[in-house]
Amino acid sequence: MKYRRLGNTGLEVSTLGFGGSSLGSVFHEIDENEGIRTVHVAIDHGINLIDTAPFYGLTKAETVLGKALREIPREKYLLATKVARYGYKEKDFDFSAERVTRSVDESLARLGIDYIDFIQVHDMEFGSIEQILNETIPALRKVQAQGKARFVGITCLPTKLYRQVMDRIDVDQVQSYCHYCLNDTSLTDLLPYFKEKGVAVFNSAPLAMRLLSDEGPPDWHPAPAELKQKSAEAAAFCRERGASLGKLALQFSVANPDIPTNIVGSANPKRILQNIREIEEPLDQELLTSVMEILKPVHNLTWPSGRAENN
Amino acid sequence: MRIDAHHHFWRYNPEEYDWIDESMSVIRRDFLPEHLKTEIESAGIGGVISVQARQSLTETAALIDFARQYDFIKAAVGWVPLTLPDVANDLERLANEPKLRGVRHVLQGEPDELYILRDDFNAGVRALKQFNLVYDILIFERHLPQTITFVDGHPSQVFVLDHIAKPRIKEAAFEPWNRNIRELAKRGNVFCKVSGMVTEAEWSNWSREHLKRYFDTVLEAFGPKRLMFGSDWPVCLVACGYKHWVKTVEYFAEQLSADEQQQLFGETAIKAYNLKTKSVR
Repeated sequence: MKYRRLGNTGLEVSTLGFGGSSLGSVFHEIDENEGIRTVHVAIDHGINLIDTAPFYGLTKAETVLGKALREIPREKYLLATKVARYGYKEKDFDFSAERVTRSVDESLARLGIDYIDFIQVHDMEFGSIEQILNETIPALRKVQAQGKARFVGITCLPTKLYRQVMDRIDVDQVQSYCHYCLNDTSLTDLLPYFKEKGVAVFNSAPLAMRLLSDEGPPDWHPAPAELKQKSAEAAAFCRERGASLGKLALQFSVANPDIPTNIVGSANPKRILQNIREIEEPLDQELLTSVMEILKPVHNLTWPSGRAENN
Repeated sequence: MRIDAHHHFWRYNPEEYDWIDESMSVIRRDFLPEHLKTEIESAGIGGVISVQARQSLTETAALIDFARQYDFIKAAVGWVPLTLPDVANDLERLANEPKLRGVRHVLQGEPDELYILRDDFNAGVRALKQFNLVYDILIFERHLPQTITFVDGHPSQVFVLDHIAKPRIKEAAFEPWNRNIRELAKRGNVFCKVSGMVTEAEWSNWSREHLKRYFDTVLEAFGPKRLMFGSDWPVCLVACGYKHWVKTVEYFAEQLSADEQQQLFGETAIKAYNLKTKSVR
């Protein structure tokens, strides 16, 4: 495992981070044990960043993660969680100071830890940017001052929001998803800005939420049909050559030295081990060129998320 | 006291022990200290060394837990993430566990045939010395050449070679295992476990005679002072009962003096792993 400097935080982060959302979909005891083992395997093999949220599995992910972390020395991992999103609908968001402050305490209790390393505003595009600037982030700064969190961050899909927020208020960390992967590298344009601001950058979903997996995306995947079509073509192209699109996608994201960490989720210990192995193998440049060519017509094609004004 | 220098414990589940395939169905169940206790008592063995089967710190913690609870468990060989830069912190956390005497990585399962020569892995092995931990080498015979290079890079580290480096007994192959293991044995910091042999032979149709020349080779190469008995229970059960294996090694050892037999069946293990157990004469 390789480690990179994480903005101005003074921390070193593994190039692969563990995404805890999959732990939210475990409903049986056997699955739960498997989920717990996945966390242990990830940490035992050098992953030192775990990202979760109360939204994932509607608190289930944090609860299972808490069980997994019980036996792990606290200094072995950086824990990132989120506030403000608690369900699937617009009404399930609450960016108020009161709610997000309480949310941190709830997360700490579920996770069974004394402090969170990164507390992030979850999916900002579903809220009012004014409220986030005036209420949510200041509330999280208070949480930070109380020692319950070390750094304050923001997350969203529409890349334009990062400048809108960071031009007006300081944050320590950002988490972008689906914008630095084989089909979409729009995050690249923001990297100089992030560097100047000294923020820690988490790149999530290097497989674009399984769009770039060998099995293909799940039914709920929000990508436009055209993008799904081209991704499927890329997957077939790799398969025909005995290669794996998922592996290439992971290697591609991890190869960028300006992106400190790439978060992938799984509740399967073998899958995480496989990912760790894959990033140690050399990237096939020729395959990469061909796949990028296939995906060229849909490059940087994304989808709307949240409020219309935020897209 | 006679020592079994190599065995495993597990609470079986098909996910974590996926290498236990259909052909090994006899070991698809739990193997815990109470099961082993009965076995060793019937075979005149007084103490054991428990070796990791899973690659996790959870496994190391579980083995240490068993060793705390059962006096007959004299030591544990655990797993730590040797390739990680902060492995010394993990070793530091384990430093006050008196029964953790060594670590092992399942090298034989690594797709990279030259894993043993990786820089990060070697950096991890270098960290073991200050914690007085033995490194157990688990390889197939085809890995012996790179293992010799590896060992030469760590002249003051104590190594224990597991399962006589797994020669291809089933195929009655002798070279290059014979040549390579004799070369490795020239390094005085390498000990060798007489274990895991039946598993490399034909399980339902092996005999002492199939194994004897392999035993005689390691005896000659390492000598009884660097050779130790191990059962590899419960894995051995696919081919051989516990007591049956003890008897088999006793038969091989008939050519040795009483003192040398003591070394093979305990003193070498006590010395290599620096056990707190006294040998009973």
